Amino acid sequence: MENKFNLNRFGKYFLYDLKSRWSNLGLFLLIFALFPFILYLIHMIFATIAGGGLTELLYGGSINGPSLPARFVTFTIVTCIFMIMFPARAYGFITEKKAGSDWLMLPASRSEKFLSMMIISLIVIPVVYLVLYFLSDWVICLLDKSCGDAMAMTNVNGLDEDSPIRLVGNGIPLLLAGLAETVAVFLLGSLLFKKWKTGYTIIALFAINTALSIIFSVIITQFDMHSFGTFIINKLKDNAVHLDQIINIWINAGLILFVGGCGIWSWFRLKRQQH
Amino acid sequence: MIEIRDLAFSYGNNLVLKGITTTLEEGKIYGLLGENGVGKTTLLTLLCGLKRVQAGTIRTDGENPFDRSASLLEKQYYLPDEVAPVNMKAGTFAKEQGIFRKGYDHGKFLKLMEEFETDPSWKMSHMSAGQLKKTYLSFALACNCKYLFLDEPTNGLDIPSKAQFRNAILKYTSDDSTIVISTHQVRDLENIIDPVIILDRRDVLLNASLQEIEEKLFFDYGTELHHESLYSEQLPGGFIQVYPNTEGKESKTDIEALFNATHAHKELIKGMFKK
Repeated sequence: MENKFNLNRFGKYFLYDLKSRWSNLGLFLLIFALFPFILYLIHMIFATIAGGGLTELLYGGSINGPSLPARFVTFTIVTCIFMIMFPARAYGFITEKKAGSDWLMLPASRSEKFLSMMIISLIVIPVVYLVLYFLSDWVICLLDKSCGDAMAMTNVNGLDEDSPIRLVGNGIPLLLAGLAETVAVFLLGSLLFKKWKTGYTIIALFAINTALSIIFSVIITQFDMHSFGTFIINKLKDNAVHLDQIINIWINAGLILFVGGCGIWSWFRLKRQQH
Repeated sequence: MIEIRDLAFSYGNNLVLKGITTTLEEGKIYGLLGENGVGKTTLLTLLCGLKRVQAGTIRTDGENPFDRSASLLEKQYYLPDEVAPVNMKAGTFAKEQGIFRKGYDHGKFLKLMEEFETDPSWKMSHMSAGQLKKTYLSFALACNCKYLFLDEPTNGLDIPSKAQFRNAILKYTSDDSTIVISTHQVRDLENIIDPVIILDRRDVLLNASLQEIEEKLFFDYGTELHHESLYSEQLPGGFIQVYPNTEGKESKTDIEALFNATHAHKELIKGMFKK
């Protein structure tokens, strides 16, 4: 057991791993996490030059900062790019001969290295990124009131009062779950592919989705979907009171299975990694 | 002790090692010699657990090196031919990696760096290939590992550094260490390696101590050719010849001549040293 997991050694390794990830990912993370400042600058430059803002400024007017919807859209795009790119930058070196050999030969057990990799990829980096992103957005909104509310202060459910969908915890659990799934699959991709890790993962996901769509469409055409649909609707009606819980259980089960599946695959990939 | 039994390894259809059976004992500095492509590096990577054996077994103190258990990783160090130019100062690198090894002695590292005339405050990414190699060699020796696997350690070293390396190996390794040095530069290591392992494509032609070699073979540095000569080469002022030592005469092993004699008479030499 001592050979498989030792808390003291894990602590040392985790700190070492954290430091190493910061050295090869720190700047990359900061560029993405501080994107609200970049967005603000780009917005102001374009609004001044192309949007007629210069005339407004000359007549003593002001230019409005980027709106809340614009900032939400930017956040979604930037976060998506960051989450699919960082796993390969953080742990893609494991498949490289020189750096990967050094890593495999480092005296810590596989379970310690794997756990550290999972904690850093699934928790530490996304949380640091989100905190810094929301913080920089908050600072922008504090400095320029024309931007409106900071994203972190916004009630997501209040944006569309007519929508029947209500997000639990202001959508934060859903956001974290989505990020965990993205990171888990791209981390696996960075361990499976030797080159073009992010690109090949996207192609592989596209291929898997296409294959599954074809398989399911073939299956669906073989069944009496009308009866199956009626059965499902009746079941949902019977359990309408617990619908939220049922959906919640399904989402969580899917999350655990997906992230867990990617994690198990990554574990065996590390076990079989050779140089 | 490292026990290798019926080891086989291939890259696709290219069989590199086959039926390798040998034992590596404690307290010895093995010189692993062989032509290009016979599998010296492959054997070293199998010994340290970077590759998985495809047939046969390797047991290092009873453990399979490919399990890469923390305790075994701590006992061994593998220095590849090409090393990674890490983006940090040599001293910091050694300290950070050294915390995972109980036997690591930072004072010894600094002393070795001084002997190699390399500054630990230099950034490794700014070092020349030779300086980088000396940094890794200093770290490898400062780890006080029981098993040290060195792949072409003198490649990239200048003439004074080669002598410093020989001195360091003799001075800074403990009596119970097993050191395996794979090399083409036999002259660089002539006075430190004992026993000698000569690897042929798919076979171990020789695994014998210098004493055994000198008991069975005579290295003649005379001026007349011997009729039983297995190998002869003209030198300024005479010859170096290798022939069976039927009269029990004393001589000093010339490893290059031994290597050439072994390759010219594979079965004969193999038969002579069969245990």
